[in-house]
Amino acid sequence: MKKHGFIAVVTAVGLFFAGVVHSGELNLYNWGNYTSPDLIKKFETMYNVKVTITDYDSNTTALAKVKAGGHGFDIVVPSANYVKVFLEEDLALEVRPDQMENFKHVAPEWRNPSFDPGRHYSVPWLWGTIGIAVDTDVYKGDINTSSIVFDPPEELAGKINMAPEMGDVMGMALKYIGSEPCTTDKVALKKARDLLMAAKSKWVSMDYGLTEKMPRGDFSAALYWNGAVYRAGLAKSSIKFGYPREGYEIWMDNALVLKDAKKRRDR
Amino acid sequence: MISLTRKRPPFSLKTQPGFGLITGVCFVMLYAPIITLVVYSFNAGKYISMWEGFSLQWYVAAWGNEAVQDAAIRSLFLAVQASVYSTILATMAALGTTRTRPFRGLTAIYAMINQPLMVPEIVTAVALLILFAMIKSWTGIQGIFYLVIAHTAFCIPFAYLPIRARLEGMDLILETAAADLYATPWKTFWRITLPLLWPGIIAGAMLGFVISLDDVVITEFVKSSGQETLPTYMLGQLRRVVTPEINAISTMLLGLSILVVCLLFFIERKFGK
Amino acid sequence: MNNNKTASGPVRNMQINRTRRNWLLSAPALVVLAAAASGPLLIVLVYSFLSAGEYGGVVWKFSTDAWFNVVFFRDIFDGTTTLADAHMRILWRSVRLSSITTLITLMIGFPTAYVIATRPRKTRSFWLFLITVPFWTNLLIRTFAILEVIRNEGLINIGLQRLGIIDAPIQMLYTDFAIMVGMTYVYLPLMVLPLYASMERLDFSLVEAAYDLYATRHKVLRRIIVPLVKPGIIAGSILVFIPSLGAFVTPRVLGGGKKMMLGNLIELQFGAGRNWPLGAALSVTLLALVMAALLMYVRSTQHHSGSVR
Repeated sequence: MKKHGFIAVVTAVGLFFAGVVHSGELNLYNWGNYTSPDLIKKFETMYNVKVTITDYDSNTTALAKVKAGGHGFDIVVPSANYVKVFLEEDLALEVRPDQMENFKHVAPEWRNPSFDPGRHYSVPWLWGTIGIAVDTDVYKGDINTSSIVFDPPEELAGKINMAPEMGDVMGMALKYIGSEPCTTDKVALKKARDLLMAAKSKWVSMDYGLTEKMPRGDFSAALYWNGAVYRAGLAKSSIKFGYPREGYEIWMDNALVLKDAKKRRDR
Repeated sequence: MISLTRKRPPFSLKTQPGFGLITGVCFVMLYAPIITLVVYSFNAGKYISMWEGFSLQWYVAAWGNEAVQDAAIRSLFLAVQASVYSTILATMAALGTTRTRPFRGLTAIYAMINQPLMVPEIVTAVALLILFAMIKSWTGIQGIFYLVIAHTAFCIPFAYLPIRARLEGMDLILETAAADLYATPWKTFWRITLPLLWPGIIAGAMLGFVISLDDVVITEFVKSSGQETLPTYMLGQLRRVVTPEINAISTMLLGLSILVVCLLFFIERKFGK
Repeated sequence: MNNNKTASGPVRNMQINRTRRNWLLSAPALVVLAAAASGPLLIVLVYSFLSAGEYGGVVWKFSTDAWFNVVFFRDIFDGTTTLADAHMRILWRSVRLSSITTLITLMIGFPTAYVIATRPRKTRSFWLFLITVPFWTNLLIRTFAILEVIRNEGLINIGLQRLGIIDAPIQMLYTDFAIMVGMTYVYLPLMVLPLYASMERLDFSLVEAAYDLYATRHKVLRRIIVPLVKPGIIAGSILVFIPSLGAFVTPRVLGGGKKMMLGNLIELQFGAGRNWPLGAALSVTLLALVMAALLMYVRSTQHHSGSVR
């Protein structure tokens, strides 16, 4: 991630938050370990606001909790594909961040994404990639391919972890068989399903927490997000990140304001 | 016939072969993981199983961690409330269902009181999630009291059991004597029954406290914005980077629970069965 | 005049008053329980007959889809309906692991309870205290402690490697074995305590009589002690089997997401599975299993009249 871009994001998001807060407190619902404590401190002192952070570890949990109502959150940070869902389900407040001051800091390539045309609702939070993590002490071969998880080599069979995020796994599988991630083509979907079912016996777990588990040897390869794998690599230098040549996804998490937030303020 | 000249150790009525060994293994099994956990909370290194020297850094970190403080306060707040309310309710229920002739509906009352013990926590958690979500979206009322009610409910059977046990052991004769001396029911209760029952009530309250403090599943499902308790915080941490900070928190919680259990045993010892 | 069925006048009044008083006393507890424990269960039952919302939640439209999906699986690609393999496997894993856990805790807990019950009175509470302490520690802590023992760089593997018994770590974590070890560890005190309660009341003069009749130790165990402590055995088994059937945290942490038990399957429906009615139906199924186990317990205690209520 570009450092310059990060600062821009921080300020943009900071101002974005400010637009939400009227009464001195802000409830942020975000991924675990995903909010810089420095950002929060800065925000709290700058705008005299108390920030509470609750965390979740999957888009579906976040969606379910928000949809169920009565959650008390003001801001949530779903992944790109789920932003669309939040918009469709009419859960987001149209705050028009594209008209806010700091929007000019948002890099041009992120200004008009397909899931939120013109950025009427959301602001980028963080972006990255999903790929293959391999402990190169265990497997010395080529790691830039998703066949590591879908058709594992001997050394890695039974030692593989998959990220438990539906959309990402399906996307990779579809790309692997040569199709597109968002297809409704039943033939392709069936192929992907069968591929996953066959590979499943070679996996050992489908869990979060790679940063702690992989350096400890609980498994030796995984389909996971780049940030966590990077941190795992800091703990054990033999852990490397591979970019599958069959195709991989770029993800982006975005902050948006919930409709419920406004309802609460107005009451 | 038994040989009277051979020296052999007196025949022990109570021992069974191999039982001692198994018991020893059992205790080792029970304590080894906990001791490891406690030992590593003093680890100077960053990881949980690579010992790098003695240090209190994780305790400092845990104490200074705002999220931990917040969660700890909330846990204690919930536990105290749940234990007080559930003990009051359980005492009343125990008085109404013990030392009395069976009346219609008694079995039903038992069933309801013990129901949280019998129903798997996940089912209750799911049920409460659904119910509270409905209520919250109709009325828009937020608050910690949803959690308080949930905790009180599942603490009731735990408070009920020791109170009832104590009550059953109490002879009605004292209360009858008081009645013979023209004491009103209320006076009898206040000056005879309650003092005698007190150890049972304390035991019930402490049980309720510990149970509420420990709860993970129901709290995890029912909590909403910012309502982390210590166990749910730890569950969240377990899914991410695990540092010995979690060992430190665990050790402190363990210490607190041990304290409470010690008190419980002490009281039981002092006031007899 | 007085007869068995009705008492006359003041006695009957007293009985009615007493009953009413008992109900009044129990009422507040019952109200809270109805609101936050029993009542919600009915809602779960209702939800199992609704349709799933697109992204979670329910749509208030009657449907038996959820119940159908508990048992059957309709392949969306070729439309064939088969037995819901995954669900059956999870159900079987839950019953199997719970039963094994119950058995193992019995094997370990019986001798332990016996030894504690036969200690001199003064030291007995100390031993009891030692057994209860792990129980009062948080479930998460206990599960986590086991995690540290059985993982690839955990106590057991490192120990075995140092002793030279194995070269590479044995994969114990993320297996059914891990879940079983975890549950045994977590529920062991629940088996020991009721067993101890039963054994404490054991009349050893019966044992002595048996020995006087030249019985062997083994025979004494099998034909005197075990039958006498049967209520304790049954109570302990119930106290272990039921919670382990609905276990959620332990399989989640030790099973790694691939080895699911019924509790995890239910939780999945309320999260990524987005199928609340199915989650509700599965919860009712779990409840039914528990009720069945309880019924067997009640039936067996009825054979042992003399258990005081």
